[in-house]
Amino acid sequence: MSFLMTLTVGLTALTLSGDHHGPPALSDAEIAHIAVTANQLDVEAARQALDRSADDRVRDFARTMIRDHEAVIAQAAALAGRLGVEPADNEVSRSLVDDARSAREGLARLSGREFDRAYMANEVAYHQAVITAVRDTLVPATRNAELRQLLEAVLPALEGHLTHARQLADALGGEPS
Amino acid sequence: MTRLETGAAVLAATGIPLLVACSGGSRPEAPRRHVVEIRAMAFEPKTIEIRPGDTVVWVNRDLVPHTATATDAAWTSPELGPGDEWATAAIAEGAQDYLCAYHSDMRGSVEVVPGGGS
Repeated sequence: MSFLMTLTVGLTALTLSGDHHGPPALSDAEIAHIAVTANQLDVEAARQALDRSADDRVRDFARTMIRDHEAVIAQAAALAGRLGVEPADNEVSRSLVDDARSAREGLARLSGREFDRAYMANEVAYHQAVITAVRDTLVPATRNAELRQLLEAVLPALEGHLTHARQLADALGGEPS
Repeated sequence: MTRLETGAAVLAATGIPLLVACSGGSRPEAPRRHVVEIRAMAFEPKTIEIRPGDTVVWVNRDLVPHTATATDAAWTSPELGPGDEWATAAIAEGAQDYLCAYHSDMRGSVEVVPGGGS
């Protein structure tokens, strides 16, 4: 079970840090890197779902994750280029990547309905953690107004993904294995 | 002849009443263009009322791709990336519900009403 939550550990730690000690000392370049990394990791998770799931609903959800997160990455990259900001690797991004690798390895041991349920449970937890981190930590810590607007603008899409993930997780949970 | 009657006679003589009568509704109004913006995972406005022959334009102001797709599959836009737009004048009379094919919680409605138009 532990792999299900590992993907959210880095983001949760980021949020808790913000709660107890004020916003972590992140530069805009580091925030941009965290945002792009978080989107890329959900794209990779979706590609794994397309490789392993035969459920049309799960596959449609995964395609939407790829389509939407790749669009956000493209706009974040365009904005960074326009601002002359080079996204900077940092401890939070590295933690997210490590956690995602663990989650992928855990999911790779599953198949069929067990995989579908675990993937969707992970998507619910991941989107919850990302929404909290973006809203409560990354947006307040961002100095550049355009980058802050981009982070704020992505929240409705993340909330839509969370709603969709919950609906699908609930539906799969109520079906026989 | 009263002052009012005199004015009416002048108007009749100049043909102005005829012009007023002609512009009183029998001439069909030109088709209008209605814009629905897609922002923050929603269609705005969510419901529009148009006349037959009017054009509806969907403009994607969101960060992610969307579509405008009739729930009965009578029409659909292609994928609309950020900044893209798509227009159609081919919406049948009556109420037509539509959604985003990628985000099915995003829903809207076009009501095509003779003599209507919001």
